Amino acid sequence: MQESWTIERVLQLAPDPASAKAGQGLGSARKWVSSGLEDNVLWGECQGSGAKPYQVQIDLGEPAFKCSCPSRKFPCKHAIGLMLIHAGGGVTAAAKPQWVAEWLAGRIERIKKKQEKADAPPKPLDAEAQANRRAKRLERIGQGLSATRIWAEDLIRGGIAAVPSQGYEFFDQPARRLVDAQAPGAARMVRDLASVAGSGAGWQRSFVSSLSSLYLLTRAFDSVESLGEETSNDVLTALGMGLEPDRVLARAGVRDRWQVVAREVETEDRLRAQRTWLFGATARRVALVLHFAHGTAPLDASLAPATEFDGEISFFGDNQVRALVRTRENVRAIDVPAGFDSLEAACIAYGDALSRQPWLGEIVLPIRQIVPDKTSDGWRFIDASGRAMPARFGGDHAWTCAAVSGGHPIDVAAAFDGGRLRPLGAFAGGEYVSLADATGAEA
Amino acid sequence: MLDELVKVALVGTGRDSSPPPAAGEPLDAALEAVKSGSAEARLLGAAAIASAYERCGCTPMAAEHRPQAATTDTLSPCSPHAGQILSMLLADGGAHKAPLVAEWLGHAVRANRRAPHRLLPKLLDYAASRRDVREQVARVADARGQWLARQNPAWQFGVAPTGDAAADWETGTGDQRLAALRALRERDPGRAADLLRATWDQDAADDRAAFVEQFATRLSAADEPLLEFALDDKSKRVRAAAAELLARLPESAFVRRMTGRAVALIKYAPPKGRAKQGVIEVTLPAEPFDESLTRDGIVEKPTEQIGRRQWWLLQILSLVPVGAWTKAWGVTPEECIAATAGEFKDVLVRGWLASATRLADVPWIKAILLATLSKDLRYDTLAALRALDVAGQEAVIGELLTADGTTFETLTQILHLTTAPLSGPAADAAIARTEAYVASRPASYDYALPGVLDQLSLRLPVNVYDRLVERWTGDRWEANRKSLDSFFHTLGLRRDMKREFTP
Repeated sequence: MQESWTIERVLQLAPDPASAKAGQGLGSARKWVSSGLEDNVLWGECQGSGAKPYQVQIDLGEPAFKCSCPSRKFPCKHAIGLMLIHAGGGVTAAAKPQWVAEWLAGRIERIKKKQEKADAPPKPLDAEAQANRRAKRLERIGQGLSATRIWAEDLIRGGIAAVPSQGYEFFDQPARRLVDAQAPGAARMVRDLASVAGSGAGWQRSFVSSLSSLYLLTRAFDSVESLGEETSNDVLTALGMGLEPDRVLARAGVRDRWQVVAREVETEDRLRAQRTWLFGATARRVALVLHFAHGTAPLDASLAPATEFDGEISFFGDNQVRALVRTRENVRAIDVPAGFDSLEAACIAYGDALSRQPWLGEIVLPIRQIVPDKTSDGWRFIDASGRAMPARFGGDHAWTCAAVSGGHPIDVAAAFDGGRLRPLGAFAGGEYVSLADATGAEA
Repeated sequence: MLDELVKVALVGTGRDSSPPPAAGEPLDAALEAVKSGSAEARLLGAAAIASAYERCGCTPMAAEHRPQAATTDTLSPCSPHAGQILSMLLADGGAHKAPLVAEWLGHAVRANRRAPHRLLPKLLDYAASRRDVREQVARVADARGQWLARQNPAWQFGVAPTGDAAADWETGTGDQRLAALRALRERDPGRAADLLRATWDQDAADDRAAFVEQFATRLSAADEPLLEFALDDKSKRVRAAAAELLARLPESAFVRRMTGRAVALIKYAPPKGRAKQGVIEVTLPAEPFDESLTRDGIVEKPTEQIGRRQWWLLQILSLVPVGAWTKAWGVTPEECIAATAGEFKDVLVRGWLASATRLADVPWIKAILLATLSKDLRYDTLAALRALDVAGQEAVIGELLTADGTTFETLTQILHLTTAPLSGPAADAAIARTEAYVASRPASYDYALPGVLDQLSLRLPVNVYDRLVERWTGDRWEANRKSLDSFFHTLGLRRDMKREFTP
């Protein structure tokens, strides 16, 4: 089964709302001198203001785009327009013209070269220089962390009652110190403390939890060299000194049928962070693929929710969820979503992952056959055995989730932090519905 | 255990340095590892262990009750692509796409299809802010939509009465009282009349006039006593409002009085000899002003540049049902208009049009607009189209657009004033007028075109798409590319919608 392209999915690819709108303007056959589809490759010629029409080509598998127009947006409005026509069933099968065949051949060549490069043994590195750099960085981190530890201890000695009334500087200063010490992961934990302190009723408990987790990290770092390889990797990853991608890809991959169960995009300043969550149908392992893009640069669109593939994934550590895709074959729509059969099974899986790696945070778990239910205290999910977990939805997604369920069990992919479920997507009636915020096209 | 630690953390280990409490198995073994060090270190270490333990051990609780599931929908779902189109239309709330949303709903209702479940919240939100689509939305939302709406107070919009209208009427603010009266007119028109009489003497003149206007809702002969009573009011506005409504009651004493006055002033002589048309002779009302006219809502002093007696005649004519003339003289509206001549022609036609507009009389409106088309057809004359329902508009617009005197300017005004779809000859005529206009203009941006193209994209039949794609090309069109792109986008969307709902 081929992945299906819907209008919604196409518009999500748009780098900004203006492109989405312009693409819709071109989403009618009027402007198109020619168009066609063969072997999952889509092409068309769009008459612009110039004499020569723009040539657009799209490999739907990736998807990958190319257009002869001068736009720096990516994908450009012509690509979006053509895909919209395709989504509406307006492109008919045809044989590839020469210019498309050439582009495709070039692409295959480039992919092959890239693959060869990836498969080639890593360049021999100057081991001594590298060890030196690492030792220097560890020293700086160590200094930053001991200052943080003193800060945390002072906080506990004086009592945390007054923390919510502290100004911005109170958390920003120690966070910046950690950034300077090259420990961005720890810096983020300090910044998160600020939002926990401002989260209203019940903040005290979460604050002590988060602060103690940070404290644990500073203590663990003391013995980082004597911990086992994986644990030491966990500590360094939590600090923001995780493995380099080439080292990750050098690790053995986990082969499985990987299902893409959820995707969310967060925007901070001009940086967009895309978190794509996968679930291994056989290994029952959760994987997170991160992708960043500045401004209107495109986010990687290759891992679309509700698709699955056979392939290998390499993790940033045995206890880590973050991973990179090594190989990907047979991309198709998910037929039967895999997942945990009860809320309890999902909780156990989370506890298991957390017990191996205490700085785990939220992970997305697919849970089968649960029912969303609105109570006077907010939303919750009930499973087949009649047990319930509270849920917290973003935006209006709670009603969308309730609408597709209608009080009947559905399969839900939800972020879980050990307390509440935060649903990001649902399979209902053979259709996937995103419950996550922020896609490329939403302003 | 974490709760104990949080208590200490709040006041600070500086004040409360008691060692972390015992937790029992299995935590004690782990806690041994953080027993040494300062009080702060002990607390943070213990908290780290306790909170990890808690998060690891989170477990679902038994649910006392389960939600009631929705019953099965009665309609089959719309096609996936039709669902995607609706999703796109509702993406930013739907407010800017209202005509297209209405068209989608119309297709779905006719084809007996329901909306996709995932779009129900957006659709119900849309209906909550728009009264005119609620019935259709309720239908295409089907059983799942009813089930969903019951759970959200914002979607409890039915015709169910809200609150106690009588109490609001007695104690409410001006707006509340108006709303209460309007609601009551819908449910129990007679009771609304009783309420209004009860407070009449205490209400201000402007309020009384606004209240009387509400009686347009479900107006019937039963309202005549109240409206006659309102004619005795000392306020001009109240009398005018009452006269306006009485003129819509053909059997009322008011209409008999007014018709009697008019018949005495206007005589029709059928065609004589070889003449094609009859002749209407007009006698203006006599000076001095008849005071009985004041009670029937007629104003003595002209509010425009017109003679006093012509002014009185104009008002009398406008309050006489226009059908009375055609019936009494046994002629068509066209023959009536043709029989007017000379200095009073304008007064007669304006009076008839005012009456025809009030009564939404299609043959009369059509006859008057066509007769005046070739001359300077004024915007306020065309505004009579607004009084007609969609079917009436369709009937009149078709003839207007195909008539000889129609210009691009007329087309612009008609499209602005009406909402009816264009079909057949009307559509062809609208296309031809637009093409002629574009051909007559220089190849540059045109300010009048976007508004017309916007309207046409929503109202032309979708099967003209391919024809227009072929024809609307060239420099003059390309100079207005943005409007043209949006025209074809909307028309194409409507064509897709129609296709998706055609079995």
